[in-house]
Amino acid sequence: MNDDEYGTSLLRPLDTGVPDGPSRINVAKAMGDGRRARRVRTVSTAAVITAVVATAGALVLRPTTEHVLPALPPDPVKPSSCVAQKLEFGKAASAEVTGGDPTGTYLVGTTNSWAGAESRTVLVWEKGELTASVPTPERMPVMSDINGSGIAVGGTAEMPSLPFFLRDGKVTRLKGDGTAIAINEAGEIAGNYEKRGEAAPQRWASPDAEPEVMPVPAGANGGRTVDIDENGTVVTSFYTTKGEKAFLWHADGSVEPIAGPDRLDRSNVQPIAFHFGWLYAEVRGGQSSAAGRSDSGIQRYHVPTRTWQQVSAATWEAHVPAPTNIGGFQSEIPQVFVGRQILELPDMTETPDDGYTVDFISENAKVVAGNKFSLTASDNNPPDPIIWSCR
Amino acid sequence: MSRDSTADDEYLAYVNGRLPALRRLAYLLSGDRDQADDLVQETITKLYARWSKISRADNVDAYVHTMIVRAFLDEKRRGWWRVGLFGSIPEERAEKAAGLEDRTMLRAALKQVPPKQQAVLVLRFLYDRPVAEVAQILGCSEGTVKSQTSHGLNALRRIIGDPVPANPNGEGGPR
Repeated sequence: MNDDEYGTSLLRPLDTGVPDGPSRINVAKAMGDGRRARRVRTVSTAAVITAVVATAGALVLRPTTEHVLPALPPDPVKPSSCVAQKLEFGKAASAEVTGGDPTGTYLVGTTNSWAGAESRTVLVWEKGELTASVPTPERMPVMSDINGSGIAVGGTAEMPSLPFFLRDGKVTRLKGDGTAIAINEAGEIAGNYEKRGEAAPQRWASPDAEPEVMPVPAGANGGRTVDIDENGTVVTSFYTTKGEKAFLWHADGSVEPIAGPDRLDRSNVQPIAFHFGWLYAEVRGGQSSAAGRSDSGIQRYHVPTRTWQQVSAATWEAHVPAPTNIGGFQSEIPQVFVGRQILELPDMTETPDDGYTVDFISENAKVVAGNKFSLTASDNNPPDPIIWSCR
Repeated sequence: MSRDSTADDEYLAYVNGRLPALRRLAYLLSGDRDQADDLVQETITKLYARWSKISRADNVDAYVHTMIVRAFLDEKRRGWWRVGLFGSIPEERAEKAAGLEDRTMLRAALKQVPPKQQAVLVLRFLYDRPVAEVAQILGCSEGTVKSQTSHGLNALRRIIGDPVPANPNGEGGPR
């Protein structure tokens, strides 16, 4: 009897098929953890959220009347060259950079980002140097954004979600439930209310404030925060009876729907993040009658003038960094949009398994940060945080 | 990440369609229902995180098999089975409940074989993967798979008291 015959006859009795008893595998949890832990796109709320939050408060729709239009903001100059450098993270097995302040002075990240990690530390880099390594409380939150005052916000990577912030070297709970996603220079924080399967955008006027939950637009169900701008306007995304739609939640409490590029409400608009004075979004479907071509792809929206501009017809051409996981994907080469152009970043590829996310770009496009990942999610190739310094 | 809800639908369709097979592979590797569920949970979490990339691969199943085997090997190395995601219940309850002492003994013997050799034996003789595919999954050469097969089987023979062949490096024919 050769080895093949021996092995087969010996081991075959162990093949009892699928284990009996109920499976405790939770696909919805996998999608949620995958989204949070690996900074990939937020899972479809329609697929995992079974209940819809019912919020108090009146929904005030802002009129969409045209008026004197301010000029469109100029884009930063696309850098001519960039230098890649790994960010230090101490003795941890791995780390990821997750966000930065508008100038790129501060970057924030975490050690051990994977779901189920036994410990995590919040990392803060200043001008590319590791300056703070702060142990997290028991629930091990991951910070997703930081402002120029060094205040970072985030939430727990594992369910149930709880919001946290980092200030003065200490990680502290924000009031309420859910998660914090983004913070602006004024210290206003946007995030999501999440509890018992309910989800809706919420915001805090400051790290010490009580949260305020956004009223749900008519016809919408589960919604989520995408980003907050320097005016305190929160951009959100809701699943509605007409598809995925974007809404602006202004600082004064009014809610404004964002009409797609075709103005006919035929397209789905998935906002990604604010950059360079624009809201970047992925648009699917629709066709602008004037242009006569599909609107699908990456577009950007100027809120004050309600102007749409096409950035790329392809959705995977380059990264649009985001404080949420929305818009994130892994690419074999690191590229990021600067304005409407693509900035090719030098790679740090060491194995064919290496891929990249680009998670931050400063408003002057001089500082870019992201992570090198295993494209096959191999634990033998842990994430490496990278800073690209450009000029 | 998926770029639209279609990607989520595709992920759900894939995972829902493959869950029985993934549980079977995980169970064959670990021999414990709770550990198997841990392995699958970890794998489909990573799969969702990488779905944008992996879904475009020529052989998604091969990727997923690789992920689940690597998860098995890594968890064996880290040794945190006892604090798994679902809080394991004592092992082999199903085996004993069924009164299958031989199977219990065989499973216990397999667990004493080094993890990588366990994986080779399970993939080749229980999951019926050819040598080339096992090599791809484990990231090694076909020769290494064959030698690990031989070493693993000899280890099993010693544990259960079967005679070890005179040629300890003897290999079976290609599958």
